Amino acid sequence: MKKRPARWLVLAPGVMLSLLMCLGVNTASAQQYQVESDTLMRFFQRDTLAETDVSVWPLYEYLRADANVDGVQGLSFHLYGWGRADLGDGNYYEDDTDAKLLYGYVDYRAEQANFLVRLGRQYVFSGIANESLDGVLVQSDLGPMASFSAYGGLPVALDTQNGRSGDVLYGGRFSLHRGTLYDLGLSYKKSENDSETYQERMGVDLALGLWSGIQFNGLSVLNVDSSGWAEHSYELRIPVRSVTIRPYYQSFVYEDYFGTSPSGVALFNALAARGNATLSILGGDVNWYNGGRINAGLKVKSISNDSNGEDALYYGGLLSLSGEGMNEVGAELGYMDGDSSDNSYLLARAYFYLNRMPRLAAGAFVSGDLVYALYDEAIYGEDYSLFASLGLGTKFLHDSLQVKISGDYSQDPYFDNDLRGMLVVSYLFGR
Amino acid sequence: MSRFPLHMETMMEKKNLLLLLACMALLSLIAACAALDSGTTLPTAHPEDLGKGNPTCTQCHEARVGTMNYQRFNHTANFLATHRMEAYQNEQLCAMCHQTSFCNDCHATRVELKPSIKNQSETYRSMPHRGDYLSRHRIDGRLDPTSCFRCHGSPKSATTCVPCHG
Repeated sequence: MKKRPARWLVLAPGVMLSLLMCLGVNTASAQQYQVESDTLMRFFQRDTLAETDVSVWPLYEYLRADANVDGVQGLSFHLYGWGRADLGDGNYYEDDTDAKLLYGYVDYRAEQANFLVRLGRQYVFSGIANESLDGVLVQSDLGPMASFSAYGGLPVALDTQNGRSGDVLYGGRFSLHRGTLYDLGLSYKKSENDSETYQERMGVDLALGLWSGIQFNGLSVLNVDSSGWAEHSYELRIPVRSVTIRPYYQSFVYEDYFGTSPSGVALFNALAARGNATLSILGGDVNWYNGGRINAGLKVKSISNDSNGEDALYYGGLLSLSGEGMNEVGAELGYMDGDSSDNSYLLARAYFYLNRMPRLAAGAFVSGDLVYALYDEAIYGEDYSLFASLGLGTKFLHDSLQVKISGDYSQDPYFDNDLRGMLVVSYLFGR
Repeated sequence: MSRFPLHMETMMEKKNLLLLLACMALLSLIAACAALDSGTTLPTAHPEDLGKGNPTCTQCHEARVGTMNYQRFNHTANFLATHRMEAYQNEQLCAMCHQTSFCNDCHATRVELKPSIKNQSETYRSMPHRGDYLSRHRIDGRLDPTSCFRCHGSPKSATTCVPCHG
């Protein structure tokens, strides 16, 4: 039987924060630390295999803490995690309580050469790595024209299978660069699950500044295990006054991209079994912005998938208008034109967020969201999805405390009439 | 009792010693190079508070100055879908404005709430999977499963997929 985290463990951070608040800790050395607590209470009803209309009241606590170590320049500590307890009828989640530490690390940055050492649970975004790691990361410039990063430790993503014995993740990126002219990086990453290779990849990335502000970006990833190219992604960014045009091309080979590790996810291993099937995407975006007030974009994407012979063309546009404060209204409209009707749909979205209105108190906001999808071929007898959301909130205590409530309504192939509610209380210490 | 003859053990010892010396030489070289002033040290935070919303870097900065290509980081209407290369090559620049927790709304090994629910009222943020994505993912997944794999590809991050897909 799976071990459940105790409910007190999930709620403890929130209780500790409340105590800190009562003690007025936020008045002391405010620049040295920052703690942010987001407490979310959701409400909805679901049918389970055993019962109908089960009330689900999940209470989430997201806690983030950042602190600089007094007297040591460049040394800091960072922590972020979440916990959840279902206060409703129960039996909806596999476990009524759950909690995860997303990161918790010590970070040291030197004053020169962008030198950085990070120790603990952390996320590594570098070259071909987008990984959660329990370990160490070192990165630094090597003079004005080269840089490197290296990391190693235990992969967090693989700890669900037979624990952590035999798990390892390591890799790095070495790059050469010159001003804004180019940045050429070579990356390597290897992970093992239970002493068997889970992923071994090499990558080359290039950012090239061309004439007239034109930029080329490219990334190619080699699956070392299967000796095949997993991915090629290339794009150009062409600025023409307030407009940026971005043509791009991507291609993926199923076996090399999804990998064939026996401990991989069954769904993706099944896709990898399609061997040399290729997915190619040719597309383009056009973005226009006018001094930050108007943001508009057009996008077109042609998908060619020879693993199932399904091709599609997506085209759409989005527009947002922003005003005083955070005031913003926007809309998006697009159509996925698949070869077959079951791969085609129309997507429309409109939203607003207003925090500067004549009768709106300072710090208050009201927001709304409407998403509509129309399917060319009905899904479970329904040919559309409708989602609507309305939210409002306000701030107190010099903007340190924010209270938000929102309600959602859904009518779609999976839910006839679904109503959900959420209350969010956010507190920021040490601003 | 050793599994190898004596001359082979001696060779392996020499090889290990050479490997150790090579590693030390490489580390020394890296340390020496790292001690050089690269002239591109980034501040840990943006010098001025940018507030919320989508910043357009080139409103204040020139498109390309020194080693910085500010134009690449303009948060245009499609930036959410196109920021991967910027993050992979310049994560430290992202970190000047964004805590990792901000990135973790979408890029996390195990989160339970989809980003658009956790930040339901922040409608100005272009969150993936807004609205009824459960229905749409059948189509998007058939046409381009690589976009699913990028975030749900590991045993832990696929927890949301497994109940239906196995």
